[in-house]
Amino acid sequence: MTPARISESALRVRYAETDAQGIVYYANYFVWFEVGRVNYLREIGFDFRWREQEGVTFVIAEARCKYRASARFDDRIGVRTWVSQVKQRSFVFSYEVRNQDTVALLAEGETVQVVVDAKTFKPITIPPELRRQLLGEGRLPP
Amino acid sequence: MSSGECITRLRVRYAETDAMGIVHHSHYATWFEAGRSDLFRQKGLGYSDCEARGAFFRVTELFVRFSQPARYDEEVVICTRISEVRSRGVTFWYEVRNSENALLVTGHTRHICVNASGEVQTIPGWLRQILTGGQPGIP
Repeated sequence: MTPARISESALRVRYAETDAQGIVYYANYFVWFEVGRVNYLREIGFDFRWREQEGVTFVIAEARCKYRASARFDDRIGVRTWVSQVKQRSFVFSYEVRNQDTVALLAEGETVQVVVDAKTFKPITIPPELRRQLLGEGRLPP
Repeated sequence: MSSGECITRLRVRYAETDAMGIVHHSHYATWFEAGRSDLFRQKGLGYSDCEARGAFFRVTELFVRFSQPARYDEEVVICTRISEVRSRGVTFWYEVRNSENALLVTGHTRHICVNASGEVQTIPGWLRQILTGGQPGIP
């Protein structure tokens, strides 16, 4: 599906994120994906408050990342995030990580989110208003 | 358990948990690394010795499937094995279980061999022998 919305997040590589090879340690890309994901969800109104109010949240069922080039300390990083698939109970975020100065592609990835009841953590059908929102059809009511 | 597998045990640290009370999903990649390092050691060559001999591994792909969360203070068992060795790359496969043997996570990582300058290279013969045979082949 063509993304109706793309969220752009900017960050700068912290020294703590680098390893002995002088590059960003691979696990940190999942944290960067999270930065993109949280920003995206905030932009559509699926924020922490809404989730608490509605008793709806999500868990990550799968995550993958393909690493194309390395990031180094102090690099300016851009994370592009969009919803690439919406199913009955789950949806997929896709991510693209680039060096903002060289525009080089550093990493691409996906996470699969399963929507669950916030109390029981049992999977539930994605509520219609959230589904519309994930498909890019308006913002969630406050 | 086949001889090609390596078992790593660790206890979940508080620092690895998040606001949901479970281990944050990014930490499993760090656990995979612990498993990988132990596997190298079990094969008779620590990964740092590997780097000292001019063979470095860069991660090209990480995949994790989360079945059940791990929680603080739980003892987890990481099972690691090499699932593929190619001319310039290697794939590791992982499974994480809790002390009751419930499956928490499965995953894999793909790596490419580079030299000290970061240029892709064919996996040197001595290292290939270690990765495929399990016999120490240190020159």
